[in-house]
Amino acid sequence: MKRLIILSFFFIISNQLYSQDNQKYSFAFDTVSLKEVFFEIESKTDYKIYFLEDWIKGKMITREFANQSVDKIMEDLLKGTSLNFKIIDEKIILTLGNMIISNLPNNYFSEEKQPSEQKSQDPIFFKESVEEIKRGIETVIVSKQNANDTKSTYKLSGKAINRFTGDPIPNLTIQAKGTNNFAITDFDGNYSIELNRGESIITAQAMGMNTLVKRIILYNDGEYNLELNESLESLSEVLINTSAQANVRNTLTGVSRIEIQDIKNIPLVLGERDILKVATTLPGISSAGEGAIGYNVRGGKADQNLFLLDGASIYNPTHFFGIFSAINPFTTDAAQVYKGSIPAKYGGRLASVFEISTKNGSKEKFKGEVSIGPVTGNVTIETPIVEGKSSIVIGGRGTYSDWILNNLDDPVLKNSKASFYDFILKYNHEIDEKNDLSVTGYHSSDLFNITIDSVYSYTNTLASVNWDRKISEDTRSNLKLAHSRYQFGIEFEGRANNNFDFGFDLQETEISYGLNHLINEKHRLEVGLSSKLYSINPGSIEPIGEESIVTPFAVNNENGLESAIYVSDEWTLSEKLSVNAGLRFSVFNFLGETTQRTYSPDAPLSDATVTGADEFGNNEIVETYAGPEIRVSARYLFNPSFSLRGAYNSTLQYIHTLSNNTTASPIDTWKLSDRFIEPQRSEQYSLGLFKNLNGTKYELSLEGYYKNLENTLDYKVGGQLILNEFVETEVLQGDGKSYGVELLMKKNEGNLNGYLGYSYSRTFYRLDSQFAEERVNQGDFFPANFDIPHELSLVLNYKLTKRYSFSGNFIYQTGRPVTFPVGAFQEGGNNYVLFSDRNQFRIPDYFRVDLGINIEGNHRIQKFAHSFWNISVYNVLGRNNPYSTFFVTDNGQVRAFQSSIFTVPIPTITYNFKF
Amino acid sequence: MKSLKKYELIPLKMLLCLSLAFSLMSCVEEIELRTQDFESIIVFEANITNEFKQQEVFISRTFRFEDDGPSKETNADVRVLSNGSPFADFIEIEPGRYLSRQPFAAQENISYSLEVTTRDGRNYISEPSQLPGVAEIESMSVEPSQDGFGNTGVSILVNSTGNSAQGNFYKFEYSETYKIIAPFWRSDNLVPDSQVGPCDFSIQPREEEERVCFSTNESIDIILAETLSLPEDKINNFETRFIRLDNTIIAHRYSILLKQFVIPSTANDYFQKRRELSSQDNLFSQAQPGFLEGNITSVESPEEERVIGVFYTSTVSENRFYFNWVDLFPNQDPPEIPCRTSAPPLTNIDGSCLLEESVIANRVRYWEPNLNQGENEGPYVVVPRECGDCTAIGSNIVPDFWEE
Repeated sequence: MKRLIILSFFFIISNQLYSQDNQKYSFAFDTVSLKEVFFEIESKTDYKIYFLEDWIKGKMITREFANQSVDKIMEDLLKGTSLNFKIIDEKIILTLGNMIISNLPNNYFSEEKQPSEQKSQDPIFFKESVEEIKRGIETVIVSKQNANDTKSTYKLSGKAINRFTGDPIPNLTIQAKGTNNFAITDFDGNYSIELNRGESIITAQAMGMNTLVKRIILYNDGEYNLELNESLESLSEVLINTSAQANVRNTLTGVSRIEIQDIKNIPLVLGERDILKVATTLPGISSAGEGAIGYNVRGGKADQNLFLLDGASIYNPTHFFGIFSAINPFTTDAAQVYKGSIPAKYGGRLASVFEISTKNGSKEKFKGEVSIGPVTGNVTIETPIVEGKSSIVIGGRGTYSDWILNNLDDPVLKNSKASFYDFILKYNHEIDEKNDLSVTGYHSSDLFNITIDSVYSYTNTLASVNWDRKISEDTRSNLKLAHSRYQFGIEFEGRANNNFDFGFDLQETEISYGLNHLINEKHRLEVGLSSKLYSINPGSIEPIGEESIVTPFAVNNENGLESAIYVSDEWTLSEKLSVNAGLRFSVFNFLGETTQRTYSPDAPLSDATVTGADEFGNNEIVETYAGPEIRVSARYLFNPSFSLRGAYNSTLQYIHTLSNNTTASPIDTWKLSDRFIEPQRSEQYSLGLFKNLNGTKYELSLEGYYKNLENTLDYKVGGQLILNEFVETEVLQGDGKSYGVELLMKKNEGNLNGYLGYSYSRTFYRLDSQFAEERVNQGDFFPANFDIPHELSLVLNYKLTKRYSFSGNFIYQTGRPVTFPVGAFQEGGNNYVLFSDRNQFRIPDYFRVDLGINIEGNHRIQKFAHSFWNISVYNVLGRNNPYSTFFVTDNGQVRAFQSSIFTVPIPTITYNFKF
Repeated sequence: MKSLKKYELIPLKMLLCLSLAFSLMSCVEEIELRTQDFESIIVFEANITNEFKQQEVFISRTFRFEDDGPSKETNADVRVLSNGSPFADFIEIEPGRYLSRQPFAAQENISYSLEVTTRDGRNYISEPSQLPGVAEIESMSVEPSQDGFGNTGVSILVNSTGNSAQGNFYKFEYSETYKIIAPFWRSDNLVPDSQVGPCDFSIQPREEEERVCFSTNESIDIILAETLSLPEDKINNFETRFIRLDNTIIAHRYSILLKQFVIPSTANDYFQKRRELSSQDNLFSQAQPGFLEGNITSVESPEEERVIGVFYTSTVSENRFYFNWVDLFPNQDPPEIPCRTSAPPLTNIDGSCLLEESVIANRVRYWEPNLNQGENEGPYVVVPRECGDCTAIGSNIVPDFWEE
């Protein structure tokens, strides 16, 4: 405000100017701040100097002046700064950027102003309308006026950064008011926009950030960094997806972005903020049920999603059977989900890529966040290592459920185990302006038992190093080294002599290098290559205790190398039409040392049809698969708020889970493609319409897709997949198809905001063969286990005051398909169930309502910590949503059971504070 | 080529709502079974052993849950072939149960197969099966133990040794017989006697043995073991039966006849999968149910017609084992069936006979005179029949094999 007053003051007095006096002064300054210099001048002369402290902060002066006029002294002092000055009477008025002109142009007080017609030599005047002052638009003078200006437009460029974290803000839309000029920041937050000479109002918007409006005064090409505030301290709206403009302007289809900050008001199950659970409320992403691990994206199986945490694969991103995700919500920045167009740089999974990024720690100050929920406690700490250069984020989360269980009276519960924890560390170092290094380490662990004699455990461990380099203004590179590991184990200690310890271990190491080059305004090229080495121990068993007669045994290790090169071009043909054309070529080698059987060609693969076996030495290539993957998408912009996009995507997958369960399980082993198991393939065609209404207040999207799947894996009924050296005898490969329509309507602003997602989607698989034992449902298409035709989710947030808001989720899904008994039979005196064709029936529809209240701590400035309460009730209606049905033979009788995970309303309170 | 695929690894069974603190709200509830889209399918059970006997084949059909049990497949023509030539004919001795006309024992190195023609003229054939290795039960024992859910009980363990270098697949069946002693047995009983008074009784000695009885159960669960993953073909302390301590069948003297079959891998595969498909699942992941193929197919439509069952040959070894409660738990009272005494009044408010009705319906047994008769009480203290008469739950005939 002070600045505004000074400026206004200037306009009022500006017509009283007259010539300056010529008195001479002498000064000597030795490492004195400019402010003190000014005070010194004021004390020794009659002049008063008007300025804003901000303008001269940090400027030190060491200088001597002998018998010089104030005029000259000031000129000298301000050399090399953006400051101009004017001496009027005994007042020295400093201004930022613009020269002070003694006379106003004649038309200054008329409202019409046509900057484009201004001759460049004309001085630029600006005034802040009353309305804009009320809105608090800050005026920024980027470059000084100089006498050689000739152009009518200039380029403003810079970097958008998060004021809170210092991170660059990608996908920020910057728009110049009243023009068609806009820019979107790249991944590193860089932007460049053409602005009219003189005054422009720019608006910068991105999800999770407060919208920034600035009045820019530009006299020349200039640089200005935008600092945006996270919408942290106020109750944020529930916003999902990329920045509002990206809804329409993005070239890729089927991309969703979830910012962690945006989901804090969504009601939670057991108080855990969960980015992946929120993802399932978006159309096209679903899970088979509350207790199902894994996600099904557009008809894909749970193993067809690539989860990347800071570039490293995470094989099982869930805790406790999928009720919680293993992604720490407090260290996560955002998740980008590609379910339609998958950029060419990603590969290896058919259905989707979940790119999860960890935030950078604050490079300025120590910060922390603590969350206390009914199930877990969570602590996050950020601290600079070298101030302004490097920082570290550490997040840890753990359950106290074991402690609760131990304190229960029930002996069965007392002996139960159920616990998990995860830990993440990210180090970020800005080596210099051009080089950025980040290192992430992550570990998660789960432990549980179902019967007291067996303990199950699984862990994810990963580490990644990313080196981002700005080779030139237009070219950037990324070098990544990542290592991931997934392990699970079963320890069985019964009373007999067969106690054992079973283990599975998967490791992958990837190195990749990518270049991103802006050829010109029309072409942005990305090229790169990657190579990933897999090493899998498919299962090993060891005896426990001296009495155990279990012989140690291990299925041969599996090794494979998956390599790819890719190239893609983001081609802007015109303002309306842009194309993103990508090609990825991937090669997979299954490597020895291994033994691969041969089977007689005209018989099903079984122990009975083995004809021999081939031995392969260490790293000898057993089998090679390769293929092109085409990733093309295009966008046509009917007008700035309405676009049509289409895409064709093909993908290949060389690693698969072995599971004969109806839903994924943490103890599903992963298997590489080998001589018998061919890579899975998928082709997806998608088309979408995208519309923004009322600015970006409402966003609409309607997308349709059709997908073909080949070589999907399935298993013979009751097939033994664990510790099976010749698992090909139990595996079936089939094909599939899925199609659907997804509608998403979002309201981004206002006290009531949120979104409505609906999808109609169908997924069918087919397992056909010339051999009866390899056929399912007579070789016809049957609905997949996660074929959920109708899915509706409504996520709403109502902001009552700045501190209180209410939120609600309404979720509806068609019940998933199940296989039901069509009769019983007797065998060995016992009754058993005869099942129908696979998935001929459905469990009842799923419906759930969650409600929550969010209370922000009050905003006293000096308060040590900012607190946040969330009180939520999951499944308010207490609806008993069946998760599965199963049939057992118990004492000779067949009995049917239905299981549900959450059958009653579950209230939780979570307390969260940050400092 | 040693395969471990048959190793039984994941007994993900659970019988209670999930035993985890924060999932106590999750639950498994029983639902009604109704048959939809019923399909009638033929079911074969045929195990030809190396015992010299009339070999057995059972043939039935699937049934609706609403029905009592399977419908038997009668009047079928059943044959066993040896090395592809007709070898033994079977005759139906009761509905669905067929016995070989002549007793025979399966021989080593001969392929046996099954051929059946049903009365509607449809033909079924099995894949051939040969006798696997031989194994002898060497000893049996009983030990106090706990099951996977922490329940205390006893385990009946077996030790066997087989002759196969690679190892064998084992299937166990048992027949358990136990002594029942009625806890509230008296030598006398109430006999309705209107001469004593209206609705009254005289007390007379019981005529039948009602104190000590015996009862026998056949195993129906699939019990499998293997020695392929072990260094030698030896079964060591394998638990064939677990009995909870509160089960009254072990309250006095208990006997088990264990039959051990060495079975071919096809049969083991089949039973292993059958067991997996019929056991209770992990709450969170359900094994994909489906139709389990055996080794018997329809001749007329091998692709379309679904057939249930497996034909196999096996070698047998059996052993009987006894134990007493007191030998295992000398300082612990045996479990008892719950019994409550009562003294119902002789007549009802409307004047009808109350106790007499229960006596005639054979629902109660006399225990003792009611000396301190309270309000609404009769003169006789009685107990439910199973507490005072063991024939309610067993037979008073001592089995031939029984040894004290």
